[in-house]
Amino acid sequence: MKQNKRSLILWLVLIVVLAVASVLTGTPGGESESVKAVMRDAVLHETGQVSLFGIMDVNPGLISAYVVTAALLVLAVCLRIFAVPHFTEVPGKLQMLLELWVDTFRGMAEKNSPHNNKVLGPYLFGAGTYIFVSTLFELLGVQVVTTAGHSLALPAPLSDVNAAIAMGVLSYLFIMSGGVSAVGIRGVGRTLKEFSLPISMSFRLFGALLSGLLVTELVYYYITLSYVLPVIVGVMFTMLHSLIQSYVLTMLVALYYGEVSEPVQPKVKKNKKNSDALAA
Amino acid sequence: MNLPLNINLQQIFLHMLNFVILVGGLYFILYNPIKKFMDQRTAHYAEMDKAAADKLAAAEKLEAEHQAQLSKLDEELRQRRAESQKIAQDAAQQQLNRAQEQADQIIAGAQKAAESIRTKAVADSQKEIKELAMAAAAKLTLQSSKDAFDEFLNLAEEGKQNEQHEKA
Repeated sequence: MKQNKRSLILWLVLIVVLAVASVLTGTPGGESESVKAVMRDAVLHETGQVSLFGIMDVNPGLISAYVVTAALLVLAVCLRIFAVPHFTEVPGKLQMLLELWVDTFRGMAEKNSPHNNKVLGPYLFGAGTYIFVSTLFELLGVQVVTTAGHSLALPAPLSDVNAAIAMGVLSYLFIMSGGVSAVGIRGVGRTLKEFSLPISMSFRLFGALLSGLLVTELVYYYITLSYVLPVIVGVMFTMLHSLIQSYVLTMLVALYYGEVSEPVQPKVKKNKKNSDALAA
Repeated sequence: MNLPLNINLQQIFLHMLNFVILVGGLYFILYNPIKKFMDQRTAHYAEMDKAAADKLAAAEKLEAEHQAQLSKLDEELRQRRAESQKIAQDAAQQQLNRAQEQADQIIAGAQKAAESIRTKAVADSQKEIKELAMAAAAKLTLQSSKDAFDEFLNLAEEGKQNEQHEKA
């Protein structure tokens, strides 16, 4: 008991000493970059580019996207081989989780677009899963080496403006395709009416995820803020972001898809006699 | 092709390609099989539900048929009971009528017999009185008036007593 107490005190003293030492020996900024440069690089990735299989230099977000996609597809194959064939009528925990996963997006598609949702469900499933997992991916802090030779933790893919634009534009085109398949050329008109949708969807995603990234970068930039705070800022915010952003984008896509693919109601012919009688 | 904000069209298309591959892969590998399984299970339960509903409907129909048969039997039983009661009442009435008739006949026969007995008794008494009177008259003519008269009175009194005794 006494020895335990002594060990505990020693451990706490060691923590305090190391913390004080790290604060006293640290510099106010990064080793060679100003806050402005760090923020600029986090947003624009002008210097922190990564080589894509030696073919071209790309933003680290694209590497993150490929890693996430590969991981998700491998996981899907594993689940398909080892879990799905053993599904029973009375589901177990894993089966319930997978069914909930599929049913959430299918239900969202059926609820928001009751007339035409055959393709919407899979799209929402893919988009929701991608946004959720790719946002959580930044928590892993997978390290890569930039073309400049620096080490870099892979960020969330959607904190890259190109990924956000790709997602927004693709979602917009998908909504348009739903409109065209349901009501023909009228669907294009209905979709074009919402011309600001790709921009708003893209930059909503980009802004939301970039804000988390910037705050995290800022916190890590100042070493005095690097104790305890990153746990809240980095983990909690990322987890909330992943849920909120996947819900927001899938819900928006489902809503607009349902709206543009709504069947055309036949116009009711005005009965002049009746209207005259009513007017009288 | 670089645009402001480091927007790169090539990378945008690469992201799109990546996303399309992901959506397609997830759809074919995971979404579709799970959805198919869930649909099959729903269909299976719907089928079970329908079968149960059909069985319930058949049972209800059978119950209704049995109920109708029971009602019919009850009605038939009630009719037969009413008929039996009517027949029994008629038979009892007939018996009563017959008994009444017999009683009337017995009473009439008894009255007739009593009348004939009374008539005969009266006739016998009258005949006896006549004979007594004739005997007394004959004696009166033969004996003294006082003795004859006494004897007549005695004989008349005896005759009267005999008549009362017969009446009783």
